[in-house]
Amino acid sequence: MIKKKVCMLGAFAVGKTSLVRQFVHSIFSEKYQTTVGVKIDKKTVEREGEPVDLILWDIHGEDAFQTVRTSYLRGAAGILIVVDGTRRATLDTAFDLRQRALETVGAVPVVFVFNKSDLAAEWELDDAAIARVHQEGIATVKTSAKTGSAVAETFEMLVQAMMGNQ
Amino acid sequence: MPDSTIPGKPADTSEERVPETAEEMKSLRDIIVGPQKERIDRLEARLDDPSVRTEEISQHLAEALVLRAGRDDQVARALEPTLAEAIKASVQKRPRVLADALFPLMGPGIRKAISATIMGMIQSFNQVLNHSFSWRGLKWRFEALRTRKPFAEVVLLHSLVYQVEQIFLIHNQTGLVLNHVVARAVDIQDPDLVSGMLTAIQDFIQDSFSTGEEAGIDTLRVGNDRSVWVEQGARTTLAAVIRGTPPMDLRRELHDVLYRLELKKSDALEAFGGDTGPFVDLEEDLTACLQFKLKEERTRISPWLWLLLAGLLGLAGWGGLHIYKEHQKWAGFVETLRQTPGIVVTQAQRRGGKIYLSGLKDPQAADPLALLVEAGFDPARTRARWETYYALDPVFVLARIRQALKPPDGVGLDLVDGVLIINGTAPHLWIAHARQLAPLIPGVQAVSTDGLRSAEAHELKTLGRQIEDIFIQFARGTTTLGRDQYPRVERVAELLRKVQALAVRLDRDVRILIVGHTDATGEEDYNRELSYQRAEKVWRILLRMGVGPRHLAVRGMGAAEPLHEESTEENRERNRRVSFRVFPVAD
Repeated sequence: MIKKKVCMLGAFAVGKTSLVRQFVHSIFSEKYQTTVGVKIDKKTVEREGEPVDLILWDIHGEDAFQTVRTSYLRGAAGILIVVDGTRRATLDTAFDLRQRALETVGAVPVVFVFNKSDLAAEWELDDAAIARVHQEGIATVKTSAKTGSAVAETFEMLVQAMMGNQ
Repeated sequence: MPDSTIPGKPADTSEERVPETAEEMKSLRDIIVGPQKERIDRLEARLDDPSVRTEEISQHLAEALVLRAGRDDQVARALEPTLAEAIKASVQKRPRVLADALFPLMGPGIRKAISATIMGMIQSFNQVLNHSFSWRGLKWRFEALRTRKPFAEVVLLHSLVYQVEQIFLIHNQTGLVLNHVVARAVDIQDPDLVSGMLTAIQDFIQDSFSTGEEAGIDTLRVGNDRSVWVEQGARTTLAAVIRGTPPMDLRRELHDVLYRLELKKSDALEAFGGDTGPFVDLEEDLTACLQFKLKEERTRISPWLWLLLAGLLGLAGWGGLHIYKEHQKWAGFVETLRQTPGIVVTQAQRRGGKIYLSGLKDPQAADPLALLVEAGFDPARTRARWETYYALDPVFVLARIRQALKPPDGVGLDLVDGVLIINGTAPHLWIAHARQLAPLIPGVQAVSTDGLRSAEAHELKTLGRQIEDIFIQFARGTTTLGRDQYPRVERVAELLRKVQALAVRLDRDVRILIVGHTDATGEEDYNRELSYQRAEKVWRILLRMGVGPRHLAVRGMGAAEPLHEESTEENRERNRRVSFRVFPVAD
């Protein structure tokens, strides 16, 4: 059985938790995030017919009052950093988080997840901004926690990146 | 050909002369390699002959394999398909050989696994069974319903001192579960998530309190009776979820296990990238940590049971007393029956609530059923069979005699040594009857009637005495009866008639003398004649009065039997009389 620790990061209220809520197996309530600062869920995906358990560490959002505990990042095999497409500042936070994460865990696959694709009209991030992310060599995906669009693909993409990395 | 192959020759000689023909070449070759030719031929033969080669390879094959196996795993890879095929073929052809070979290896393992499984099953089954039907069991069942836990878990909960419910082997770096074992009948959450969260909390604690890298949580308390013991190693953490109060020794044991496992899986831990495959075989080591200790069941007996016991005891006592009394009553009755004269008991039993009696019984004996009722038993539930017999007990013989003879009043019966003694006065007929019958009565050997008098004979005597007391008076010198004498004659006639009737009944002869008397005055002959005539006169009157003539005789005694001394006229008058003598003839 292959198991991978995956950390989910992102600025406050980018929709990390909503993004995974309907796709994961969870036994803990969301209050863990505000107390311990992390909530752990599980998502099983298939890769080449073999199941891979992703242990998702949904780490509390970065904001003025609380910074991400880097110790939670230790041992992560992949990182999802969620960006709110309607709030440009969340992308800056994402870059910042990526920087800190890579310093902690070393070179692991990172995927930038641009959430709230259903609210396209309100987006502050244009394609150019996303292209800039690409130029940094970061995988990107546009999702909607509300519609569920591309959520499953996001996990598959990350698995692909992690397992290819091995 | 290199120079070195022709040692000792200067290099310039080849330039001097070059052989030209095949002949020359051959002889040249012979000169050069002549001595080696034989060896070359031999080598050729060795190379060409497969049997020789096989022989040679066989000598070095093992060493060669060892050598190569030390270098890389090519031998193993090369042999693997062949070996797999070989094993398959062997299993198909002669499964027995492989089975025999593997048995010593697998047998103990299988046995251990089976016994562990059975022990586990027995443990939980035993627990459940022990508590299924008790009051406490019912309480626990209710608790299981209320808390929606499996009954087995509730039982364990209450009967354990402690139990290691789960063991997590957690990779420190990633918080991933390398292996996880769980005790039977324990409800668990997803171990991956629990492990992750546990790791997160560890991190959280370390960060929050800056306790340094090494120090973390070593015990988590959950509720009243559950704790998580955390044993941290260099690369892994062993977390034991424990219910109850474990002994401190367990901590050391967990530490030892963790140390051993890290050593055993050192390489796999070093290279760990998320594949838990290499840690699957740790299950046995971890399962060994799933220890438990059951509460020592104090066999406390509930007050209800005591009460029930006391009740039962009381009931048994009452029952025993009842049975004893009943037995005593029965024994008493049987004894009374045996002691009862005229009853011989051959069987006296009680079976299935019924009474069976049999034996011999004298018709004169007391009624056994009456005795039964008197003793308090139900005659309706009694089957009795009595054969008649005659008891020789004097009481019974007498009773029998009394019944047979029906003696009239005035008759006494006595039995002395089998001799029936009949005393008293009885009618003549009864006496005859008794004399005839008495010797035939069972128990009577002889009959004595010496003391028995006939009532009629007695009456006869009495009547005779009465008659003899009557005198009929005559005037001097006459045979004339005074008028006042007639009632006397009538009285005599009446008595005589009775005497005569008795005599007939007794079939006895009676003689009645009518005796005439005179006073002493006058001539003797005259007197004799006068006295005779006086007697005859009375006789005649008696006949006239209905007295039968048969027993009567008349006699004249003159003055020979004076009644009084004739000193006075009055006495003389008394002597002029007719008297009677009654002679009952003895039988």
